[in-house]
Amino acid sequence: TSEYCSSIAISELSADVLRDLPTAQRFALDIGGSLSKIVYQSKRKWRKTFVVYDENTDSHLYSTQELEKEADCLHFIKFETRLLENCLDFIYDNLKGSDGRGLEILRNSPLRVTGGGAHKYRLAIEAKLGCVVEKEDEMTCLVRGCAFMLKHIPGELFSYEHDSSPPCCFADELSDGGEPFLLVNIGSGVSMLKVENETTFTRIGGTSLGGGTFWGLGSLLAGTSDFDELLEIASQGDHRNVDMLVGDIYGSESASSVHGLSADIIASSFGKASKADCKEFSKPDLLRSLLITVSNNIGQLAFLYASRHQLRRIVFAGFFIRGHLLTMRTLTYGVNFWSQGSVKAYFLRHEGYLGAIGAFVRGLEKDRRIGVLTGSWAENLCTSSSFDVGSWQGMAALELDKRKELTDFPLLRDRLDYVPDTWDLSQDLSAREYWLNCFEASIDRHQQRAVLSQPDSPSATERGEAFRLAYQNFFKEARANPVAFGQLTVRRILDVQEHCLRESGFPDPFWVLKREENEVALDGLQSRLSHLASLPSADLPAALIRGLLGGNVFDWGAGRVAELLAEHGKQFGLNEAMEQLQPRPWLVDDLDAWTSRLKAGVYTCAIVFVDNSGCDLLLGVLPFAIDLLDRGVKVILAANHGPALNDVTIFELRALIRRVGSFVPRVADALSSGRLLLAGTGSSSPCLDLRYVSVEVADACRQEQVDLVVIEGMGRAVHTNLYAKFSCDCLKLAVLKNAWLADRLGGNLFSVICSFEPAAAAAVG
Amino acid sequence: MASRQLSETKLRRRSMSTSYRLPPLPWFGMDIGGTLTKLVYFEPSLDNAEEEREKVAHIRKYLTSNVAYGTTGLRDVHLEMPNVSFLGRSGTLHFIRFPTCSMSIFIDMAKDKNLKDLADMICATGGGAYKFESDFQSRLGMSLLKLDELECLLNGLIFLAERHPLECYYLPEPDPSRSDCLRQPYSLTRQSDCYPFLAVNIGSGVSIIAVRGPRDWNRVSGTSLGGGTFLGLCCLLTGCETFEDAIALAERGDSNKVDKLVMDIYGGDYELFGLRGDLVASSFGHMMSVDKRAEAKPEDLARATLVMLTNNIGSIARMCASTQGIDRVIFTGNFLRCNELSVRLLAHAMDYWSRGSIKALFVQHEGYLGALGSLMELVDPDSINNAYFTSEDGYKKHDFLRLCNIFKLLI
Repeated sequence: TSEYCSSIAISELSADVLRDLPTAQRFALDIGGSLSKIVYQSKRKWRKTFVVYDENTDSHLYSTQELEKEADCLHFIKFETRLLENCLDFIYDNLKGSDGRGLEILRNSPLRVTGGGAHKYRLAIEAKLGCVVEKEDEMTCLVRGCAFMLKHIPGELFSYEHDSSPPCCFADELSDGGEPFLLVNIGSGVSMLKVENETTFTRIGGTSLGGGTFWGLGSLLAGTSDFDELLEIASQGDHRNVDMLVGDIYGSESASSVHGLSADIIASSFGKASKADCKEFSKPDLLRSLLITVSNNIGQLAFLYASRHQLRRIVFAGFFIRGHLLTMRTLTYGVNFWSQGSVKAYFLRHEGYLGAIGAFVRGLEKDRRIGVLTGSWAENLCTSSSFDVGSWQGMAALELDKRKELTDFPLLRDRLDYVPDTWDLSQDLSAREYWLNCFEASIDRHQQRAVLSQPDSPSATERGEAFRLAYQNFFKEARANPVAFGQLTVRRILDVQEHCLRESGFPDPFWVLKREENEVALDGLQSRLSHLASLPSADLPAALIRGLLGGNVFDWGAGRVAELLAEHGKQFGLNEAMEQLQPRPWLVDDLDAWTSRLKAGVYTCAIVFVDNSGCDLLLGVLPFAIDLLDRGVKVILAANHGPALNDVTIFELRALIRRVGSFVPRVADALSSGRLLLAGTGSSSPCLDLRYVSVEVADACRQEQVDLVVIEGMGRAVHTNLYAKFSCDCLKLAVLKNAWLADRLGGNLFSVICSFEPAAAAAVG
Repeated sequence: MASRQLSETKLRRRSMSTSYRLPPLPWFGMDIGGTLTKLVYFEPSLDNAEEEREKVAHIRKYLTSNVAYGTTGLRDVHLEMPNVSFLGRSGTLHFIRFPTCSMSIFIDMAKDKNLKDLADMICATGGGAYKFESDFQSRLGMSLLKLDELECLLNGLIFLAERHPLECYYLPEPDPSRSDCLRQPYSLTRQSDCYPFLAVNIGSGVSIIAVRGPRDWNRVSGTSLGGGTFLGLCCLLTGCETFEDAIALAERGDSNKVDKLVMDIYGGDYELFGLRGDLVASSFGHMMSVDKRAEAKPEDLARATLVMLTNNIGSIARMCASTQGIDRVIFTGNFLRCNELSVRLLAHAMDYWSRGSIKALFVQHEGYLGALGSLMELVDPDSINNAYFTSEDGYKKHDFLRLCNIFKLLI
């Protein structure tokens, strides 16, 4: 009946989660009483697009090459502990391979093992794999693992909110100025850890009434030992038949009026179960009461320890939770009841893997190989299985891909207040339905384009189908469970799309189209610049903004625009696009404020987060940037590192700007004198999460003393960052090319957002 | 909450006592809990008292000549306190209990003994005072003066501690494995500077009260894992039927057959955190194994239940004490009645986990403090003045001063 404990047959493992075993570099294990987890690091091969440009030989602006490239990946798998030996056999066979290289690598360093079974299985593992096993302390691993997940996975943390549907609300990381928190590990017993940072923690207490108590007592009461079955039975019961409530002692209603205690508060757990009451008790009622007894008690003790140590946050982890709603509800209730809301309870999406990744990290520290972890690790949304809160399957497979090292964007006014996404589709039902439908309807289009992007590959059709299946599966899961992949947002959906494409071997389906658009736009750049030069200087700033907005109309991600472009083909140029724009006053119209600010000549350096290829970049953004350069303002053009839709990548940008430089001397000069900088954001998303930008961008902002942030496009300035506040002036520009979006913001199709937010105003409001 | 409750009671008493006279005999105090009802009965000595009315004598003889009442009522003879002076009378305090579920039988008996002819009101505390109020009214024609549970408990506690030198005790060398632990009397009187202390009353559930002075207390915590949980789980797990049976089973069981110890997980001590190998890591942690379930005997299960609940209460009490900055914890309530094992476990746990900084205290009349406190409310301290000035039936000033002395100690 329950999926969580059911074994992943080893043969199935081979097909999927263990596929990269032959290239495994390092392992760590967490052996629990019922479940064990393995984490291993592998080198995965990806198809990647490289931009190649050679002005002398190529008839095109640039060409691209798809090559296989290796990248680090962390794989997490769980299986039943009773299958440990089979699993070890499987690992052995895979590592041995043809040349035994894998085994050699494994035996180079001790295998780190944590969890209650580390002691018990040590010799068996050593015998099987021929490596040295080193036991790692469970709590230390837990704390390391917790820090790792919180650092790398946005939306890892969530709270149980009974009145929300679904009842989990995702929180940002637990990094409030490094405020310590209480980590409560509910395994067989319970340990309460005060965590100061990723390496410093103290065990401040615990209790023997833990998961083992529910399991053991539950087995006695129900006559079955299956943990998940016990939980399932408990979910059907009513504890009020077993527990003595305040109302039972006081008589139903009088109690609440006299003592301010609600009659349904439990006065004595199992208080009705003594024989004197001569009752038969049902198993569901007994188990429900037991679950509540144990969780309530842990919640209360956790609160007592937290308040004793002035901690305001409690993070619950351990096998007892397993994403089980009733457990989370009771733990949260216990904390809320006793703390009157002054202490908050949180849970973790990948709670089951903390020990394993912690042991992995500890191993690297001990071997002085911590460099392996440098950089950022991102959830692979295509290969990781969903998080099913409420059905206690919790997390099954998880894969993390290594990315460039990412960091906070330094110009956010308040990093802790920053929420990238404008709409939370997990909680907003109508928004969720709209966007899931909208994106799902585009699957075929994306599949076609992906297959067409690789005309020479015989496997393209088959992989296109794989993409479709993977992406469709996401929609199925997201509809059934809106928190299947953490918080559901438009950004998340777009990320899933990119991950599924990449996973199916389509690194850049838009590359041909992007190049075409870039070539067409480039042809029009000279006349655009001449036109602008002919304008009276007073009119220039407004014309530039209009051009930039017109350019932003060119977006293959927007259905209506894709239609227009298909309909009119190359006849649809910048001027036609500008005609589509809403007449002034715009939906948000700070054009005058911006113009006068620009004319005041106050800026040192501007960073512009660019959006689409073609007209958008070359006829919209570039003239705007050139004007800034003319005014003596340095400009950083920041583009995605990886491909996403028809967004320009940093590699394409470099090729383009170099070509522009060949006929616009001002650009060539600015580039060579370092007044025009091109930077990769580290992202490959049509949206922009400013908690994760490249070190390159962050450093450039500091070094060049950036005092103007320009964000353009729906993905970066509306779906995300619409409400972001910055410590310097910010200009957000977007055309609402989507009717729903326009409607939500009180406008119409092609409404314009031109939002200028001076730093001073931001500081006040 | 509690103090507001208190003032309501006082107001009612005040209005009732404008023409105060000593309440008519017999004098009872009741504490109607979730599981047990506790009754304290004051038997006046007859040597210098007025002629006893016949019906009163009847009740007195019934109560004092029996140790069992009906099928479920019992008198705790060993707790009896002779030569107690109370409301100017000397006499004996008797301590009687019966299961709250037999309340109906009690009411029948009271009706049978014509209790109503003697008094129209009984002082009662505990949740049952609310629950059974209408039953008393309709079936006996008597009203219940409902008194605050925690205030009665504290009043009863201090009353006893003042009067009974051996009432309060501690275990200087607590050892859960030794049944012959020395009990050392502990002087808990106003003179001994008894405040502050933490009172942990373990009935069906558990209340934890921080007491900083005679009128300065508040409920700081509590838990639903109490005596009711012990009895309920023991009944379910072992098929036993009474608290006494459950305790007797626990006394001879071995909880290590049921619980998972630190050494069962780590092979020894958990050195990094200084946890000894013989500490319980997971209560009932062995019982998910079918084999271990087959091995565990009822007495082992009872023992594990007792150890689990006792240690949990100790743990919560210790957290509350240290949060409140209090170093004395008095454990009361019927869970500790004839439950030496829990007394030893609590004493040991408090000592061990607080590294000797918190002392666990216990009382002889552990379960009767609330009932005693409600008996004392027969005469409200605030109404003494009224009692003196309005009394018409020959109270001597001498008696009044004795009364005042009693209550001065209480206030």
